[in-house]
Amino acid sequence: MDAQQAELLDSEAISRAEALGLYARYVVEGYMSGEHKSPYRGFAVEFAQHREYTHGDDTRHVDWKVEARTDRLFVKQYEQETNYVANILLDGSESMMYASGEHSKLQYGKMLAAVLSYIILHQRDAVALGIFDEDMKDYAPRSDSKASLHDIMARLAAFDGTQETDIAATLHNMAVQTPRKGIFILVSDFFDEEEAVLESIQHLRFIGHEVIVFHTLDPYELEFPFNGLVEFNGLENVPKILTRPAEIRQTYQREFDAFQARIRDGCEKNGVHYVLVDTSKPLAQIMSNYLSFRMRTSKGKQH
Amino acid sequence: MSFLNTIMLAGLAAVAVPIIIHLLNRRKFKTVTWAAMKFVKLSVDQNQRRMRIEDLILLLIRCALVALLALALARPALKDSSTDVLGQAKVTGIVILDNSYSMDLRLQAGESGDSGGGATFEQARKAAKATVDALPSGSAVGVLLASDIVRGVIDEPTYDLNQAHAELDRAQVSHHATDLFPAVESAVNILKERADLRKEIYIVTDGQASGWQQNADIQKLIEDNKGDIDVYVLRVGEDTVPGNMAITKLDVSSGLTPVKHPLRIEVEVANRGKNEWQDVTVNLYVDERPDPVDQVNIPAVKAGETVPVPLFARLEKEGYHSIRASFNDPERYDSLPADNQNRLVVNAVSDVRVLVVDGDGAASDPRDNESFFLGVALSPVDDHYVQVDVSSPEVLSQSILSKYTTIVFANVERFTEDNIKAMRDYLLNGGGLIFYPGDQVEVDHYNEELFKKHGILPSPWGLPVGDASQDEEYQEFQKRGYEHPVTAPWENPEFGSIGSARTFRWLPLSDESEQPEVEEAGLPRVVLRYESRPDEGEEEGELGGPAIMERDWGTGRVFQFSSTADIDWSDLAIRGPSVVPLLYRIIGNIQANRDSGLNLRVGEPFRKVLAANEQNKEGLVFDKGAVQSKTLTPETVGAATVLQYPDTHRAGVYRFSIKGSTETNLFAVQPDQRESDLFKIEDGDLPADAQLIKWENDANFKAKVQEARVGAEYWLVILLIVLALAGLETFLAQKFSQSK
Repeated sequence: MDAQQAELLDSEAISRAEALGLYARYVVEGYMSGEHKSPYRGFAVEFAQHREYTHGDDTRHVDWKVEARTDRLFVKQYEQETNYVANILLDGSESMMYASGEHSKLQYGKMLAAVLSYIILHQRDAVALGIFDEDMKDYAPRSDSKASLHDIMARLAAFDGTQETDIAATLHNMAVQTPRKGIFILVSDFFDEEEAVLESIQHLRFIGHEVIVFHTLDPYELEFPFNGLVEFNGLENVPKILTRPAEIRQTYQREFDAFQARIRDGCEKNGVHYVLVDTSKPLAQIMSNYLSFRMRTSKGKQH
Repeated sequence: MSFLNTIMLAGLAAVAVPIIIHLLNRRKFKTVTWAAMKFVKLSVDQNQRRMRIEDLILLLIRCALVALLALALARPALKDSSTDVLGQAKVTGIVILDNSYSMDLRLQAGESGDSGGGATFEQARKAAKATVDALPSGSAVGVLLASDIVRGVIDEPTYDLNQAHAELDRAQVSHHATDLFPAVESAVNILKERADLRKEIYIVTDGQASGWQQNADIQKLIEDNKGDIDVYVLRVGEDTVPGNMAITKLDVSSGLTPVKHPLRIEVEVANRGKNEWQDVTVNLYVDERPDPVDQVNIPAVKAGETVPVPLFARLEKEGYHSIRASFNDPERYDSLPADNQNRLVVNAVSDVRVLVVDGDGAASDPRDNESFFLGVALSPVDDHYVQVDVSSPEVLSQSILSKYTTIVFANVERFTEDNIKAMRDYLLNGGGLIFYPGDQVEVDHYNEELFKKHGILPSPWGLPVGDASQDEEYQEFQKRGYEHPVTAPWENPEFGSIGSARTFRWLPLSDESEQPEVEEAGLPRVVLRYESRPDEGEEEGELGGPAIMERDWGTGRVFQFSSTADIDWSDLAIRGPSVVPLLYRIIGNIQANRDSGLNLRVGEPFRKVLAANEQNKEGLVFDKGAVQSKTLTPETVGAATVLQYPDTHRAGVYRFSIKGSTETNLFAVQPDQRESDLFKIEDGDLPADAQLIKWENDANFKAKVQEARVGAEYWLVILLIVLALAGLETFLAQKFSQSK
């Protein structure tokens, strides 16, 4: 793991995530399957129950000890951890390149994606990573191998955004290409056609995917703290604008809040978890808050 | 609307500054690479119009600030009383205080609280001081004392009004006549230099008509500066014209002042009032002795009449004597004391020496000599006070000439350069020359040297006219219209006749010759003219060319005849009743000219030419009544070194001496007689554009002057608007920059 990759793995975040450990895992699983056991059973390490052998069962799973006592053939069934696939989709468009402080939104998104991948793989779930702008620019296929973490880090580190964005198209494509239910974790600033984006999220939900939205924004985009005469030089080929931002701050904030609200409401309406990510805040805090939130929600559902 | 500091209007160009700053600011900005452009664009679209309007409002306010500031500095002003919102504007005023001697007139009615009899000048002083007091605070004032001359006691307006008060307290009546035009002109010139809104001239005067003799010019001056300078006439004194008797002339009749001879003193008494004045006694005093040496009583002097009266005095000693003609009790004789007496200074001499330079003196019969008849005419007896010496041209020198009052050149052929130099020096020292032609003279030499080159002769001599060998054709002298002082007495037929003398041959003189450019030479004047013989049936002939001319040269005087001193060409020499007084009057005129520096009109400077051995001496003058003498230092005027005393504004006798010398000279200053005429100008005849304010026992005079004054400057109002705008600008700039 080279330095560039290591940078993506916020050690504090990871350790926090590990501290939350099993609970988080439970939460994730619980959320995925509701109150039911995971429908996907595989070969897991923990024994769950016996059942009578039927033709075609793998003889490796026959519990010979039980056969010796009962003279009947039972095969062992194991309780498998949720073996869901988390599709992490990171918006790599040029607008994500904006940074008022140390990290750009893209950089922050990459760290977020890396931490999520790390946690998920450590839970022995599968992770697929897609980085997109107008279309899918890089894609790491699903893998539950911890060894794939290296590949994910390498891809994240290597990516540099230069293009405009088209979230909706990407999500629609993913919806088509991913028939198996899974989790879609979308990391983006959503500077795109809002309605189309929300439609595409709805599409994912329609198919049965769970969607978590990490709405990643720079604090300056939230506060608009500029003074004096400023020429705004648009990313993604938008014409320049010369203005005195102090005099339009309230309007800007009103419009921006409305935008945020539209995204949040759109998400909530579709049963999508919406997480506002302020890139000035520590990633650990964001993660911790969200996982705590998930725990609470899961507990609520269990009772 | 006018501007007192128009140059500051150029500051209006600074209106461009806020615009330039605005444009420059638009080029000075930060660049931010930004993602959320959509929202910036949305916000800008919503606020663009408002921001533009706000920008425009601020820009307009800033431009208005600069423009108004420039406007305030240019000091705009309105002269409309209805706009006088900030009280009275400060004034720059010139007080012209008439100090001619008519202002010394005693008032019939006293000021309130006075016992009466105060002088008009005191009233004028009060009016002038009230005017100064009426000036708004911050005003400046100048003070001019006006008679026929202007004395700027404060000719640069001062903000120290106490100083103006002090100068007005110090002001004195002079013995000058009045002519207000020069004072008004000076005041206008002073005020024109000032960049003030309110410029005002206050003429404090008794309204004597003679003061307004240049009324048309004063009116034009006021009219030309109307709108810039306001003129007020503050009229003091009484409207009624009191009776006024005046001694208007005091003169030695012949001009000659020998000792131990009766001197005929010409005195003129004038009634300048509206009513006849009866039983007028005129006394003549010598050397301020208490008893008069002569006295004359005039039974009645009609209104407006001038009566000449001869008085006689006899001077016993050589030297300077003061002669005073006076009514009885001159200080109380009438309301105006200044013209109730008059003074004269004469320099009495034991003899009058005349040198006749005879160009034809070699005849065996003395009667054929050119000088014979002159000698007989001037010095009929041996011990006569006129002593005549005869000389030939060869011995002329300055040292000889200086012994004589008058030098007569009779038929002298020509002069050497030394002769001419001696003449020049002699004339520079006040001598008198008389030139007669004759058959010896070289006319061209005279014309070239004495006329053209040195300007000594009043006229060139022309070619001879007439034939002396016959007695049929001749010219006579004029019999009327004598204008020169020498011949003026013949205007009175009782004095005799001069016109009947016959001239058969002459060298014509001209009063129209082109004059040489000689600094010392004065303008030539005609003393006596020829007159043609009347035609049949006519009583009078026609006036012809000059027979005698004269001119001043240096401080001396030169007479020039057109015919001979003897009887070769004319029979004047044997006409005793004509020639004797004529010659005496000419010599007297030369003597009087020499003594003219002793009798000055008020304001005319006393001048003493210093002799060669006195060049560095200082002089001392004792004014009449002055405790201390005033020292005069030598000054160079032309070729001469002189002592001058210019402060002769009061009539009277002054004493003068050269420091280190025991000899004391006298000189007299005589009042200007024109001022005796107390008739007043009608209110309606005063300049139409001047505002008249009358003094009427006035406790409210200050208020009267204030009422007449209106108008204000507006820079303060504008400055307040500027301040308000600056506050508004700050408020709006802050308000507009708040986030929306």
